[in-house]
Amino acid sequence: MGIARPTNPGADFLPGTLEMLILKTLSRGPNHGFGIAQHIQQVSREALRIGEGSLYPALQRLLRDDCVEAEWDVTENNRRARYYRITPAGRKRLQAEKQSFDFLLAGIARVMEAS
Amino acid sequence: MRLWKNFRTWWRARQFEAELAEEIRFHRELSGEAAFGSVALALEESREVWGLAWLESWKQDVRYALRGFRRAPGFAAGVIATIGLGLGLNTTMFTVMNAYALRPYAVRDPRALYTFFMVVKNGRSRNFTWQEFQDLRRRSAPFSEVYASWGFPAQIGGSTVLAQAVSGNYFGMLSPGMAMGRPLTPGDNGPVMVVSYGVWRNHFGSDPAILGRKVFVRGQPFEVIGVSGAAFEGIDNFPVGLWVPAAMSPSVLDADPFQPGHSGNLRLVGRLLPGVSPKAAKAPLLSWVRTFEPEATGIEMYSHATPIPVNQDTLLAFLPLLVAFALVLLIACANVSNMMLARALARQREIAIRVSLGAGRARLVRQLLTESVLLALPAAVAGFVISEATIRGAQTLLFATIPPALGRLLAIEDLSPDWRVFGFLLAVSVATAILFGLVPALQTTRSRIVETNRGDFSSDHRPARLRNLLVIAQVAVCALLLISTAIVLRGGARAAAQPVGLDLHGVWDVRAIARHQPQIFERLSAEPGVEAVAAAWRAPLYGDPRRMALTRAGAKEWASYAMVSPGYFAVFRIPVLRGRVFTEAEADAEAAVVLVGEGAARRFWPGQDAVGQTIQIPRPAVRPDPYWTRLPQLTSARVIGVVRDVMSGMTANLSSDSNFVDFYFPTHAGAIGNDSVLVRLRDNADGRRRLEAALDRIAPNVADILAPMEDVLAVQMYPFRAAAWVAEFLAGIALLMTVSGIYGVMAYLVSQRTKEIGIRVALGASAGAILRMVLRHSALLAGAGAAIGVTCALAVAPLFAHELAVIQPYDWIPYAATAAVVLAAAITASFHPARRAVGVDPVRTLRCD
Repeated sequence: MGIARPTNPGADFLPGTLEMLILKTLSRGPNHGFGIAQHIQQVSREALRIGEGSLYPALQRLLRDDCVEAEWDVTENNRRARYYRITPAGRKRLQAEKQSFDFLLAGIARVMEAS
Repeated sequence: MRLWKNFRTWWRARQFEAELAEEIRFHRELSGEAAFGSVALALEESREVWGLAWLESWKQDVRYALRGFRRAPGFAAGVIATIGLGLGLNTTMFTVMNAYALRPYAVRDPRALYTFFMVVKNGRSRNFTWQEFQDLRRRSAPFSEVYASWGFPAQIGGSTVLAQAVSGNYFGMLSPGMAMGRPLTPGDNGPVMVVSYGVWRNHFGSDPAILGRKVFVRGQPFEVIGVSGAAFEGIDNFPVGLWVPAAMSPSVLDADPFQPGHSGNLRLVGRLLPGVSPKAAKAPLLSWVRTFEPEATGIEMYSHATPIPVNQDTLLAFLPLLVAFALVLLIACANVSNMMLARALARQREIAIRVSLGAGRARLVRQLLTESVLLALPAAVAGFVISEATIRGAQTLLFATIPPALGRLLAIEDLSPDWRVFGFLLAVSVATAILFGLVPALQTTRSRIVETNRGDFSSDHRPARLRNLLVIAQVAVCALLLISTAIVLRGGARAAAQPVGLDLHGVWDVRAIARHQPQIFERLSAEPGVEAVAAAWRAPLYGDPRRMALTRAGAKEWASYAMVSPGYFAVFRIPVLRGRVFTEAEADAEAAVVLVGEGAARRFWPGQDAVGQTIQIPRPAVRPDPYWTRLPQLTSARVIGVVRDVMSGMTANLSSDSNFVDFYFPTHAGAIGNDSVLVRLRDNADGRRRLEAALDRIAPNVADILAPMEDVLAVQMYPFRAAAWVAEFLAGIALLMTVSGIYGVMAYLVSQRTKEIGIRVALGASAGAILRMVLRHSALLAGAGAAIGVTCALAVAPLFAHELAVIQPYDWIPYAATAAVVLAAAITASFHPARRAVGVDPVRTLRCD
């Protein structure tokens, strides 16, 4: 899991976790890369910061796997930006990853709480 | 799907990078923070997601390889030419195989078509009668439909074509498509026929008004109602020229096949029901067959999808040819492997430095293999051009040399390349590239950091050993091919040198159905310019003479026999040594007299006069199939004469016993079952036209075949000539490649050992000693190769030892000659490098470095 202010959060994420967070963010609606990073940072109350070095490769992986679609559009400030949108396949994957993540988390909790 | 997306990204790699860069720039501007994570890393990892990094390095390899080829165009051209030649020959071979064994007939669902017959006691096979066919059609399994056909030869427009009488469902079942008119239908019972596109084009000059024309088949008029599509010539081994309804067969065949009790020789082809395998179909067929043929022991079934069914037997028959062609490609690979090794050795310094700088071995091997593939692809193009040229040349040669009697019946399948040929070429060229590229690649990238750091790039002797092995392998393969060629050549010579004993010049074999034979015999006897005419059952030179059992002193003995009319001995000018030939009266009565060949006379009555002796003919235990066997209706016969033994069977079977006719029984032109009327013309000039004119006065196209007996003999010899050509061609190329291979190795070796030779010269070695040193090396390689080749040839010899008598794989001359040729070639090839070695100037070589 991400630890507060890591320089390269990607390296510390469990594999697939970053994709899950991105998909969760996009399930609220289409967003561009910066918006996604922003949202994750805010919601996690600065606990999770995602650098470009891991965000964009992760987005490319999701594109490759048909979990998201990308389209160029203009922002409110009239800037060109690439917007990502979750696909039905992406929703399915989010569901699956969330389940296995919950399972894993519960397992970790049990280990940590055992005396 | 995923692959396709990858390709799309590769295609637009530049756009991909630009978009990603823009996205990240935007991100940075908005976040307004100092560098957070590396942009380069983000780009790099994103590229990797799509495999772009891999693509990039591959592009580099290609560019690097192409630069290398530009620097050494001679090397690239040499490799492309050598591999191109090997690929070209193999593609030729594959194209032929494709046309005959792989490409299915252009009919509806050819893969479900199977022909079948039953095997009865004693391993004999038998086809079906019309009644049995009708019975099978009423059943619903294992075939959805079945057609029946009889094939027979017939003359049309002065040449013989294969005709077929077919059941009414034939065209409906195959749906081959028509060029003109309509196909035969179940309702066609009258004298109508469909001609093939080839016959229409070649014999009727593509006559657009052919429909409705009357054409004579075996002397009977038929109306042409259709011309088959260009791609369809039946689905048998020989191209079918015309089809008539089965109902008309009584008028064109000897016996009425619809009569019950007719032996029938109906060829059945069925379409298996979907999901029924040929194996599964055999059991129900056998139980059906047993209902009328209790002696049936099995069912044989063959696919009718391609001209030659692909099964174990045909593969085995083709194997020697496939192996020979593959061996030539192997030699080409060895040659190129050697060239690559020499080149790689020259690049040893570069590669060694790259290895010591940390280049991964896999990466280097990949780069070297990329080079091989880049050379193999143009070689594939060259190979394609060569194969097209070879096919065209071979076809021209075939038609220029084949005896016309065989040429008319020959089925030349369409030899144009299709996707299978291109697929084969691509697959083999890539396999070749890996074959000739992998060994040098692995060899030169072995990491040798210690030597490299010492600055020593040349002291590795393993490549030399490998090159020696490659040359030895090459010489061995070449020797193997040379030995095979010599054996085939000597076999052909042996067969040609057989004294035939029959005087064939001016003798024609006229074949027709039995009912026309008396008229033909009479007409030709009356014709001016005809010296002699004979009727015969089993004209000579068409295969081994038939054999029958005789009893002598209570014991059974086998002897070959034929039935001939008195003129036979005059037609072939066979000398009568003792006694006399049959009289006309004896022939007409098929009297109990017999002529005996001299060899049989000695064998049956050693030390006695054969004339006046009697032979006893036992009744056969089982009634023989009259289609194959015709026994004289006699219980005994008196020998009235002895004639000279003449070659009557296959010249390839050398062994005289099976080739001579032991007993000649009398027959006459009116007898049912004779197959030939043989005629000797006094003057053979314009013979065919004169005979045709005479025969046409009986009825147009009354004879099926009109063949000069000289052609019949030539047909027997033709396979040897053709095999010899192919073998000579392959062996010639193999020899050429081997010579160039040895030359390359020796030239390289001399230049590599320049320093050593310089030292030897400086120490006082004579020119002769240096020359001997180089020549000895090459002679050793050739000697080792030749020894392996001879061993291999002897190892496979038993496979061929019993096939044909003329092919004698243990004949020592081919082996000795091959060894001599290979050694001479090796010494010739190394002569130039040896001369260069002699010319080494010790002062210059020792100074350099």
